[in-house]
Amino acid sequence: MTASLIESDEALVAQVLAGDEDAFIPLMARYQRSLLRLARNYVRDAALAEDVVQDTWMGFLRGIEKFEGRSTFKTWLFRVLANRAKSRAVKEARYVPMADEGDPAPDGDAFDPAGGWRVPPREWKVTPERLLLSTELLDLVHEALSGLPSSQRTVVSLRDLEDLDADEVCNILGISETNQRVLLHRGRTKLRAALAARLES
Amino acid sequence: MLRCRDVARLASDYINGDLSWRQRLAIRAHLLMCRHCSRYLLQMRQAVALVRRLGRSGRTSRRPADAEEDARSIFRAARTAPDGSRRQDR
Repeated sequence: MTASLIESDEALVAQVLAGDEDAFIPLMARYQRSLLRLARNYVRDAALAEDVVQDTWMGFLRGIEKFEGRSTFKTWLFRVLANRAKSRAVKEARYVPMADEGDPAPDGDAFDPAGGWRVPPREWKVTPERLLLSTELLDLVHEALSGLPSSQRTVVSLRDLEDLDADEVCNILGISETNQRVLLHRGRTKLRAALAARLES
Repeated sequence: MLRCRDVARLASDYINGDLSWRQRLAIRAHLLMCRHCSRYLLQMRQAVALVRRLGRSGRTSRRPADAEEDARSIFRAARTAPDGSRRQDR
């Protein structure tokens, strides 16, 4: 067991597909939480999200979706999940397309016509210790993240929560590099604004 | 010369290190003279740092009570065909 915990994804995948049940335990443990988080970006219902994650593992185990090593296993797995979650959300008639939400640029009115700050950012009443340790701030950022439009939330989550790079995110979500950057920028800008609203006073 | 609005628009890419060295240089020159933008960028970094902390905190999703048992059930279910017969190993 201990040895298998540090094995690469690809090694575990090969063992699992060869019928090794024990190898599936660390593989699933490694990604279960991330998959659930990603699924929740598409389907809000927790039980439905768990179904989607379970179907994703089943699809992998049954070879319905085949991992062929063209990307990392993680990227491949996230993409399969995203596609399944998306079709599930479409069925539930609550899917919002990634590209366009008619969302105006955030901080649009923060600048004067010359491009200078109309409302300069004010200092946050927060110590470095609080930023590192406060659970109240985590609640605040969690709430702000949940309030983002789903496409922005998904991109911010994959980049900043799951620590994936831009190429991986484009690959998983099937969006362009430009689109990825815009969604990330808008999402982060809104998160900063949400924190500012609470920390400036 | 970059204006504050331009700096704000490039902030996310700047944090990621996704800009050309020329753009980075322009931003750094602007930041030397503009405390508003310096503060803005600091706050943007702090927001990103908090999201990263959130990811490590475990509060965005709970760990299942019995992960091993879950894994074994899924594995076994996957290897059983819908008619109940065992799948053959490849």
